[in-house]
Amino acid sequence: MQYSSQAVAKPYFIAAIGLFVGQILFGLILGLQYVLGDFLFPEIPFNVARMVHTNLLIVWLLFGFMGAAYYLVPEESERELESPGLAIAMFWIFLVAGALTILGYLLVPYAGLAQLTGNDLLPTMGREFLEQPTITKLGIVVVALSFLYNIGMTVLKGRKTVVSLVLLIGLTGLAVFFLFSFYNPDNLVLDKFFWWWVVHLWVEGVWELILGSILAFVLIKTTGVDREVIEKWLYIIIAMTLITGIIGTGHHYYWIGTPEYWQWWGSVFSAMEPIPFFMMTVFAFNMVNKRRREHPNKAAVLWALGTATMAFLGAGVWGFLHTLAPVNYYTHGSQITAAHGHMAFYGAYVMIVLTMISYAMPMLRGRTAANSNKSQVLEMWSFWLMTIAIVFITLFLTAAGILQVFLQRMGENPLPFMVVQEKVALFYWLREIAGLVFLIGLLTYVASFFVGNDEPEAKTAG
Amino acid sequence: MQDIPRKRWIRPCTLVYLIMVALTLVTWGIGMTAQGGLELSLLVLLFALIKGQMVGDWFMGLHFVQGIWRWPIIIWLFVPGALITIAFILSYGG
Amino acid sequence: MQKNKYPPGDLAIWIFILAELLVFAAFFGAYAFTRLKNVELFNYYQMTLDRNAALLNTLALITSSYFVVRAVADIREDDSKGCKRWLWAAIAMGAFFIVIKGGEYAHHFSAGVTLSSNTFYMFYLSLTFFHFMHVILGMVILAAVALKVGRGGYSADEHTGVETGASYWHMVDLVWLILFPLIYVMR
Ligand code: HEM
Ligand code: HEM
Ligand SMILES: [Fe+2]
Repeated sequence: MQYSSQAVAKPYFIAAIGLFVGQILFGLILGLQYVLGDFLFPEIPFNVARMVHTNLLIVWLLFGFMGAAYYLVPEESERELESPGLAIAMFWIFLVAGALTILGYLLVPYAGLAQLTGNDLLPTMGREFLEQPTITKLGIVVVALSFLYNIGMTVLKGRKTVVSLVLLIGLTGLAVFFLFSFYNPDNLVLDKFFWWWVVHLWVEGVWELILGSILAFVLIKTTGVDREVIEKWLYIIIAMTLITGIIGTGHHYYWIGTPEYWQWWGSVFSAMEPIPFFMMTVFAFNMVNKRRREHPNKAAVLWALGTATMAFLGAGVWGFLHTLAPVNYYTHGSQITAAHGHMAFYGAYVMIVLTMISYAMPMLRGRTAANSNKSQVLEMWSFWLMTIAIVFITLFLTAAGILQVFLQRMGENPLPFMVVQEKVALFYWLREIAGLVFLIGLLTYVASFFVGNDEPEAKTAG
Repeated sequence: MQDIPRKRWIRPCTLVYLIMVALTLVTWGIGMTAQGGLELSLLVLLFALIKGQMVGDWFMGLHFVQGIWRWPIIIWLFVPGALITIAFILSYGG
Repeated sequence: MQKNKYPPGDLAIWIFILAELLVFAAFFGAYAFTRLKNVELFNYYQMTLDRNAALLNTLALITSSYFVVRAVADIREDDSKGCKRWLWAAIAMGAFFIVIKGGEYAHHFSAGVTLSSNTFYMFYLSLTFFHFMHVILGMVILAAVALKVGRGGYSADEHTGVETGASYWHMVDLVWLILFPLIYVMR
């Protein structure tokens, strides 16, 4: 660690991992409720568990992004963070606000929570991923603004690199697009527009810039390849992302009451969205092949390559699968969507945060470059367990989705929704088993922080 | 364009340009008759592909490139060219 | 003549060009196959387009592309002045294209045509408009290059930037060369 203020990243990473565990526990509850409908009813209804699962995901990814930025920016800018104190204060505010919100979901019926938090004054609640009470949303804005100020000042006063500028643009975009969540028009079509401008423009727009710049940073550090080469790749990747991703929003406009041309615009542009993801894969493997040094942190390199691969599979391949309007006509809102959502979120954003944690955490905990061999081996085990588990979750959901589409939406005698759900229950059981493997992988991951701490650092084997 | 020998009576790129203008005028003439027909349509498409190839080879300078970068424009012209041809043949009940 | 391994200009612009060409190819294919299902409609509304304007525009882009070729030839001989002149001439042709095309749009819009009027107009407007935006972007790139040439920023030894801008501009031309017969003439 070159700058002492980078240390503020540590609590962010720890909180991220803690909330990650919570997210997965609720995922398992959901998975069980899929097959045992009254599991934990009425204590934790499905809709509440689902909300907790997805909100925890978003919140811990945000913790991860912020931690990553606090670690990355001082090193790129070659100066201390503008205000480490502000970063720590915001950490606690965000954590407490997040915890209160989750408790609110679990303890108060959602409608009651809306009333309690004065949703009437500025109605923003009730939309997937954006269920937070308005006051929590305002808190998020405050945290985001302080964070941007902190990061922005550091970047502007210090050395400006492509990596830190792209990261800053991505994070600013994240905050700006979140503002659309405050507008909740009565017109259902407009409502959907604004919702997608948050959700889609996040994951298929500005978050990809964050992903690209963190990946570039870790690759610069671990491979020793020239910065110029890596920056050029980063340029092309973000340009392609924005060209395809912005108009690609149209792939969510097909059936919500928008004019027909969106079926063409959405299909053609979103069909190109896999290109930047593919370029990221080529980029990462290329850089690692051209490496000038053997970095002792093998686990971090593994995570980086894993991110590049799984993001392409989850977002690129599984996204393409259902993005053309004539296909989406059948698959819209089916289990195929859930399959894609899981692999894309895991492959792109979960893995990039874990990549950064893997790279930075050893230094944050006082190592010079890497954890002990023992700890790294365990971490790499967790990599494979979680990654393979998500691949299977995706495959099972895809199978369930294909069956669902066939039985419920095609053919002469389409079956009712619930009848079909019963018929594909086997796949939901299999998903739950894969989910358990995921949990084991995650616990292994957590354990890797506690083993081998008194052993020497891993050396670059000759 | 590369290394244009000064003594030629005309620069290759100028010659290419004049051919492209000529093909454009013919295409326009056909368009103005509003005649249509499969043969005429495909002829016009062929002109366009030739012009495209000229842009790729002589304007973009891919004629002087060896290896995979020799091919992208050629392939690009071929794919939509083939798709359009097929669609037009089908539209004439072929 | 010695052969090169890479096309002129920065390789990054070529990746970009290929991605853009892919988008247009998808749209061309979509046009042709959608037409298949609506031949009458397409033939009917094609007649409402202005082929004379399209001719002028095609000539404008070809000429403009030719000027850019001359600009690159000049800078390769270290002639910044000539290069700059050709580039601005090319940009002027681009501006001519914008004016003519703008006139066509004004005509259609005043006739109440929109993206939702019918499938033919949807394709006509989408395809030409995406291309239109590329013309504008291309002009911006060429202008940036021309300004740098004017400041003496390029030479016979180092003129990748000129070639980069030139390659992008030729792509804009190339796309139109297919667009013109496909939308205005073939029926
Ligand atoms: C890392 C990037 C991505 C993430 C995290 C992601 C995540 C998601 C999620 C969670 C949903 C479900 C939203 C909902 O209705 O609740 C979704 C829907 C969708 N995604 Fe992605 N996605 C990504 C990239 C892509 C890409 C690149 C494509 C296209 C090539 C794509 C195509 C789609 C489509 C078409 C839908 C709508 C499915 C439907 O109609 O039900 N996604 N995505
Ligand atoms: C890091 C791992 C995970 C990520 C990134 C993740 C992400 C998501 C996302 C984005 C959604 C919303 C999907 C949509 O709207 O289409 C979702 C819903 C869900 N997730 Fe996860 N999840 C993960 C792990 C798990 C696990 C391990 C399980 C269970 C075994 C699980 C079970 C579920 C269920 C049942 C839903 C609800 C689907 C529905 O509404 O039909 N998730 N998850
Ligand atoms: Fe999307």
